[in-house]
Parts: sequence; C-alpha cells; structure tokens
Amino acid sequence: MKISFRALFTLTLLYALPGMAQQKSPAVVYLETIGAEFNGVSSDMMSYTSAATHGKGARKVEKRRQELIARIELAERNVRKMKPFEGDASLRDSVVHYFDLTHKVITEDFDKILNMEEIAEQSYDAMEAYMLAKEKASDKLHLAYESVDRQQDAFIAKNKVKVIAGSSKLSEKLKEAGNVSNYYNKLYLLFFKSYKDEAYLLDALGKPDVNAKEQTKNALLKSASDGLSQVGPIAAYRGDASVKLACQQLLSFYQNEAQSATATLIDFDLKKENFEKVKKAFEAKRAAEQTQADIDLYNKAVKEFNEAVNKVNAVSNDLNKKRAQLLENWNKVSDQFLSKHTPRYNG
Amino acid sequence: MVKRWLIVAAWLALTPVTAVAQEPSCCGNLQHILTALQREHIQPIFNDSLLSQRIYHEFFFLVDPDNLVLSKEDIATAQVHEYRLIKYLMANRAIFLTDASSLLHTRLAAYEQWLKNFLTKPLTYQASDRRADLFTPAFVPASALSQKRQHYFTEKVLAALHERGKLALTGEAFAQAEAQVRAALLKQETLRINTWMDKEKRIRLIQENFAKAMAHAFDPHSDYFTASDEASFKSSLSAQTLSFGFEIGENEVGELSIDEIIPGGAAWNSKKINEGDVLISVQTAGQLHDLSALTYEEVDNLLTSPDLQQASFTLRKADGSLVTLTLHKSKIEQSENTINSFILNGTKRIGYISLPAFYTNWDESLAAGCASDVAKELIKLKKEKIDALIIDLRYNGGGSLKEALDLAGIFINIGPLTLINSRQGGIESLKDANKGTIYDGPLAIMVNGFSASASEIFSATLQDYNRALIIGTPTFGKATGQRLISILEGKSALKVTCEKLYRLDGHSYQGQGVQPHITLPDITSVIPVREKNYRTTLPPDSIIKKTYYTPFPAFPVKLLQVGSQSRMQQSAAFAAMREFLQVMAQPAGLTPAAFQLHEQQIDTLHAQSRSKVVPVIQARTAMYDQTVLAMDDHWKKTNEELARELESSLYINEVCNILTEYLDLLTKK
Repeated sequence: MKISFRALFTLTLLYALPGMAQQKSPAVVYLETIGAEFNGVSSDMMSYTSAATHGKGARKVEKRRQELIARIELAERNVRKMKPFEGDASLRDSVVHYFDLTHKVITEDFDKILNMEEIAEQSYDAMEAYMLAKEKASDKLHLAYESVDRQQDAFIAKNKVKVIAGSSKLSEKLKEAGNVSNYYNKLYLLFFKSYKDEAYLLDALGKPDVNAKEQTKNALLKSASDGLSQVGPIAAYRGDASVKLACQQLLSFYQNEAQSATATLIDFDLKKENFEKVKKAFEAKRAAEQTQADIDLYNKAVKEFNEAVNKVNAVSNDLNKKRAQLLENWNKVSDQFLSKHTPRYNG
Repeated sequence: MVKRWLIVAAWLALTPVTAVAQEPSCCGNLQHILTALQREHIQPIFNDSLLSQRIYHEFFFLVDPDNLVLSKEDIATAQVHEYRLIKYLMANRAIFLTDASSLLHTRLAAYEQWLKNFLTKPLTYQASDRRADLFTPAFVPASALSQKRQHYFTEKVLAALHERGKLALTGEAFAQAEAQVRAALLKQETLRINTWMDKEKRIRLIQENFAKAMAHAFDPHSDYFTASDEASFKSSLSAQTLSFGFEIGENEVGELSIDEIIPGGAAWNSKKINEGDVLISVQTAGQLHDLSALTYEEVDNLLTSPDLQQASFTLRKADGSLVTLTLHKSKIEQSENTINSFILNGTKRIGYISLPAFYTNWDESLAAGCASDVAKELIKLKKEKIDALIIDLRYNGGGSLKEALDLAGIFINIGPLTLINSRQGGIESLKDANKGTIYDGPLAIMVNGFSASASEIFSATLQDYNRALIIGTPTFGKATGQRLISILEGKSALKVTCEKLYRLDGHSYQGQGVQPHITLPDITSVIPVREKNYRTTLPPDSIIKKTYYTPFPAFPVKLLQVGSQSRMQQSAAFAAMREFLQVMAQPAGLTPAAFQLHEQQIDTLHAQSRSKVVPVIQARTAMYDQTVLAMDDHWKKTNEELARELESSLYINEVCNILTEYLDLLTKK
C-alpha cells in the first residue's frame, strides 16, 4: 500500500454530510464542491486498492495508480480555482495543501517534503531510509488532514451549517480496507525486518569477514526474537490467523537459523583455521621430532575437520530448502489474505 | 614581421656568443609530484614562499636527521634559496639541488675527517657531559657542532659497550673493547657517508629527499615513496608477506648475522641455516653483493625488495666453514601483525586481545583483515563466558581506516562512527557497515602516546558512545588519513594526507589525542614524540554535521579514577615505574660509570616495576586453541612467555582491577 488509509478514510466523512443537500446555502454548496473532489479521490483510491489486492495484472494495477494520481492533480487544481468564501481562504488553502501533499506521498516525491539527508543520517541503509521517509510523510499527511478537519469545523461553526452525521458505502469500504492494511502491515513489518537482516547475513556468509558474519547473525537473532514476542499477542483478523501463522513460522525459522545453523557455519571458519594451524605445525616438524602423540593428534584433527565439512554442507542445504518453502508460503498467504478481506470496488 | 626578424638577426650578429655554464635540467618529476600533492592534499599550500620555506627546512632535516653534518651557518649559506624553491622548480632550475649537493659533499668530507679523528683514538670522558638535545632535534652553530658530535658518539660508544656487557671493564680490557666498538661505528658511519660521496648516488638521494621534503612540507604524514619504500610500507600493514624466513642483525663485531629463523619459512625448511650464522654475500640475478660493504639498511632493503624472489646466500657457520645455498621466498605470517588473545583469571574472568596494528589485506583477495581476526578471538573468548574484555592498542600506530571502523562496529549495533572531511568527497559521516554486535559486555581499551591514527578513531568512537573505558595515556594525536597514489608511471608512490577525521560532535583530536578516562603513566608521559611535536603538523579544527546516535549511559569515571589513583599510590610497582620514568626523561652522564649507573637504574627500576607487582590474574590461552598449542611448540613457547609477561605487567593488573571494580559496581545497582 502506498498511502496511509488513516487519512483517506476520514476524508470521506467530510463528504458524507447528509442533510446538507436540502439546504443549498452558499456555504453548503462550497462544502459540497470540496466534498465532491474528496469523493472522486477516494473512489479512485479504492479502485486502485481493490485492483492491487484482488489479483489484477500489474499493468491494470499501474493504470489504476496513474488514474488516482491524475484524479488527485485534478482535485487540487479544481479546489485551487475556487474563490475564498466571503474573503476567507483558510478552508480552501488547507484542502489544496492536503491534496498537494497527498500527491507527493503517492508519487513518493519525498525530497520535496522531507529532509532526506537527515533521514539518511538516521537510517542504517537505503531501505530503512525509505521506510522512515514513508512513515514521516504519512505523519505529515495526517497533520495536513487534521488541519483540513479544523478548518472545516471552523467553517461550519462560522457559517452555521447544520451537519447530520452518516456514512456512505464507499467510506465503509475505505474504512475496511484501512483496517485490513493496518493489520497486514503490522505483521509485514515484523517479517520484513528479519527478512532484511537475513539478506545481510547471507551476503556476509559469502565473504571472508568473520566479524560481518557474527554481527549480522546476532542482529538477525535479535530481530527474529523481538519479532516473535510481538507477533504473539496479535489476534487473528476476523478469525483469520493465516498471515500471523505464516509470520511466526518465518520468524521461528530465522531465529533457529541465527541461533544454531549459522553458528555452525561460522564455527566452521574457526575449525578450518585451527586445522590448518595444526597441519602446518605437524608438517613443519622434522620426521624425527614427530611423536606418536603428535600423529594421533593430527589424525584426530583430520577426522574432526572432515566431519565439520559434512555437517556444514548438510546445514546449508537444509536452510536453503526450508527458506524457499516458507517464503513461498508467506507470499501465497499474503495474497490470499488481502484478496479475501479487502473489499472489492470497481469505481 | 619581416623587419623585426632582421633586427633580431642583426643584434645576434653583433653580440659575441660566449659559453654560459648550464644548470642541469632537473625538475619534471618533482613538478609532477608537487602537482599531485596540491591536487590530492586535504589542505594544500598554494603560497609559494611559505611552501618553499617549509620544503627548505624539511630538506635539511631529512638529509641530516641527527644534525651532525651541517651547522646553522651551513644552512644559512643556502638561505638565498629559502623562499625561491617553487620558482626554481617551475622554471626547471636545479640551482638549489646543485648547491645542496656541493654543500653536502664538502661538509660530509669534513665530517668523515672529524669521525676518523674522533673514533680512531680512545675517548676522553667528562663527568659533566650530557646530551643536550635528547628529544628535540636542532641544527647548532658551528662552534657547538663538534661538542654535539662528541656527545652523540660518546653516548653511542657507551651504549654499544653496555649492550655487549663490557662497560664495567677497566684498564686494557676496557680499552680493547672500546677500540672494537669505535672501529665498528666508524665502519658503519663511513659506509653511510660513502653512499653520499658517490656523485651519482648523491644526486639521486638529494632528489629523493627533496621529493620527501615537498611531501612533509604539506604535513608530516605525507611522503614520497620509491617502489621499494612502497613495498615495505604495504608489507608492514599486511598479515602475510613473502620472505626468506629469517631476521638479520649485527653481531658483537658488527657483522651481519642470522638473528632469528621463522618456523616453516624457506630458511627453516632448508635445514642448513642456524641462528648466529654470519652472512657473507648474496648472489641475485647477475650480481654478487659483498655484504661487508653494505649497511644494515641496504641489506634489509635488498632482501625485502618485492623484485627479489630468490637468491643464493653464502654464510659462515659457527665452526668457520662456508656454506652456499639458494632460497626462494615463501609466505609467512608477520608476527608483528597477528593478534594474541588470552583469558585472565582473577576474581573475574577477563578476556584480553592485543592488536599491534590495524592490518588488512591490500590486495583484497579472499583473506580478511584484523577485524575478522579479532572477531574469531572474541568468539573463542565468549565460549568461556568472559565477564569483561580488554583490547590493548598500546604502540598500535594505526593502519586501515576500514578495519578500524569494522572493529568499532563489532561493539556498536548501528549508527555513525566518525565524521570525515575528504578532498574527494567533502564532509560525510562514516557508519557501521554491519548491523549487530559480537560482544556487549564491559570493555576497556588500553592506549598510550604511540596509539595513533586508526587506534584513535576506534578509541574515540567507543568513547563517544560510552561503550568502552579508555585507560592509559593520551594518544598520539593524528586525526588525518592518507592514501597511496601511484605516480610517474608506477615507478613511485605518494602517501598523501587526503582526509581529516572528527569525533561525532564535530571536534578533532588532532594534536592533543584521545584523552583517557583513567591515566596510568608510562614512557609516553615523559618522551615528547607525539603529533604536536612535528614541525609541519596540521592544526586542529572542527566541522558542523548533524549526527544521530544513542550513546550508552556514562561510566562512573570519577569513582573509578579515585579507586585507581588510590591503588597506584599504594603500589610499590607504580612507585618504581614513576621513578623509572623520571630517570628515562634525563640524559645519561657521558662517562662509563655514569652511563652504567643510569642504565642500571633504568634496568633495576624497570625490573622492580614488574617484580613488585602483586598479580591479581593468571593468564592462559583459550581452551579452543589448546589443540594447536599441543602441536606447535614454537607457538606454545611464545604464548607462555606472553602469558607470564601479562601476569607481571603492572598495567594489565591495574586495568583488571579497574574492570573488577566496575563489575562490582554494576552488580550493586
């Protein structure tokens, strides 16, 4: 999901002002005009979300995304063209600002709304910087929405508009989509943190630096263990615990991988170095200096080293197989969950 | 146009042409070096007069580092050139180089004569004589030069006699011993002088030293390397090197001999070489080198040159017989560049790792550097559930920046480690490359005035994070980084200071070093050989760069300082050490009796600083290494010696005391 549902869902409340239709005072017309733009954006947002979660092809999803972006641009233009209401541009300007921010968030043009250099400084890597940027952008968007909300309240009070609360089918769907997304994202982030840490570990295992291997192994152990303790209390979503279970399985795999399997792989580096030192020292001794104890020690070291080699190969193969199975399962379960619980909408 | 040519031609026809002495054209390579320095250096000097003045002074200190050949007045004779060297360079004029060559030729001849006069007669010892310039090199007036030389060589003779255990001799026996030492010294010095007296060699040496002076003028750590210098430099920072597998030294009579044979190396495997064998000659492709005609440095350069892969050696055995054999270089571990780890058992179990240099693998092959090796030792120590860890960086002069950052990353999860301002990249923060840590327990880092560069980055970072207690004496004060660049089509290299390093708050430790939390005085407290003592050192400055990091809670430094000071006050070993440092700071009296007394005092006090230690630890190798120890007798012997040294070290014991006190404080919380 590319946008926080939090703000967009509450946008529809702005539109859902039944009762105002009977009184076509200028103030009501003003509010309805703005409301119509929000409704348009919300509709396209829901179409896009529906396409992304219900197995539509990548091209169709991208088409819906482009339509959403175009609709936001149109909404901003239309509201910007509106005259201030009785000399007061506060509501209009807050809505224009909101749409402008929404556009930048949807297109991920973070440079224009955030200090990306500072975000990079606070982040471990590019992925973390991206996620931090998304989070901060979403916070800004929410603040912008709250400003719209305040301005709307002020407008209603000032112009004595009567408001009757209610909701539409679209707002209900958006609310539901938001709940699904929030639930899924919570689990996704817990999985993704360890997934990333494992990627670093696998990269380190392919190089000679033991420090990188041991550090990334410990980082994975921590994120997997922390992740498992946080997943536990998360309830099923309307009785569906499939994503939670898939997440727990992956995190347990990562935890085990760090705790024992990788420890074996790293220990092999030490065993190999030890064996090479024993071999070198044994071969450096002149024949007359090699005692029976030396020969026995050397043969024991050879045997232990060969056993370690076999163990390492078995451990690596087993890890690769299990990882592939669990990731395939995670992807399948994720798609099924999102498709099942996100409302359909064809705009 | 035609008219002007005619006028010129007429003028030439009228003016008699006389032969004019031509200066040899010199300076293409030097110009290239200067351009490279100005392009790459972090703080280039474009003021020609200032640069010229610096080069001028650095040049004379390079060609006469002990200030024994030239006087102040000699240097003043060349003063007309002091501010013009860059102008000469750009105009391709060799006038300074020529003048310097003549000056050196004359003064070296006089110096050689002085040496012959002084070292061919028994010395006259004066009770009041002392070296005045023990730690501060300076050129002296001509009127004081003879006395300076006398003091210098008297001290050398006395030191050589002391080394050979002959200082206590009297009468004829002393006279004979002194004569032998004087002869060996004269031979050594004459060999060095002869290199400079040869015109071709002198010109080459002058050019090389001028190039070095140019580099030093920018800052003391920039340097000019010949191909052989470069190879030695890289080798000194590698974990492995190609070698014949033996170390050379000078025996009692000044002959080059085999000092040590490295197990597993080429010399060892030949089974024909023994320690003490005298090296007579070396045959390389097409050339026989008579080693009695070469200085120790020349022989060392010859044998360690990367261009030499095999040679034929003629040696004299202990029984007087001659042996000739061919050796091929093979890979050996550089014992100076491998780490040692121990378990120190006392009331707590403390892990100890000493790191002599931040070595790396320059060729970036599959072998890793020191951070990886420390990680391996840490894994072994962790298996024994250590309560705390000591990392010993005393005398660690630095090395690879990457290894220093990787090592710091072992103790820090994520975050920025240091700030850098580089000529190529501007200001940026350098971050921990690897998420996660290997060890999270209490950590102490031992440093002293010779802990430099990469050692300081590592210590400063862990100090800024409150991750480690820094114990010892203030570090060297080198907050700059250098890189090697190849020049002159690969025939030479420049080591250029291209970056400055800063702490996470933007301040620099340039000059003053990293200040320890707890001070334990050592030799670097009294000997002024730190960054701030260099003539062309870069001044400290600061930068502004926002960083985001979360330090750990601060150490209870005041409490630990009080505890340590109290223990040191009551310690007989530390009392002996304080007295030892006072004696070391004073020059020895230049008579056999006074010199011997000075040396005896030093030896006695040094020994007392060990023998009076009340050890609180027993040192042993990690259990993981026991199999190798059982097989490798050489390593076992070395390790046992190191273990005993650690147990009797007042510094190691005091650091263990500090860590134990800290652990007790943590338990009480």
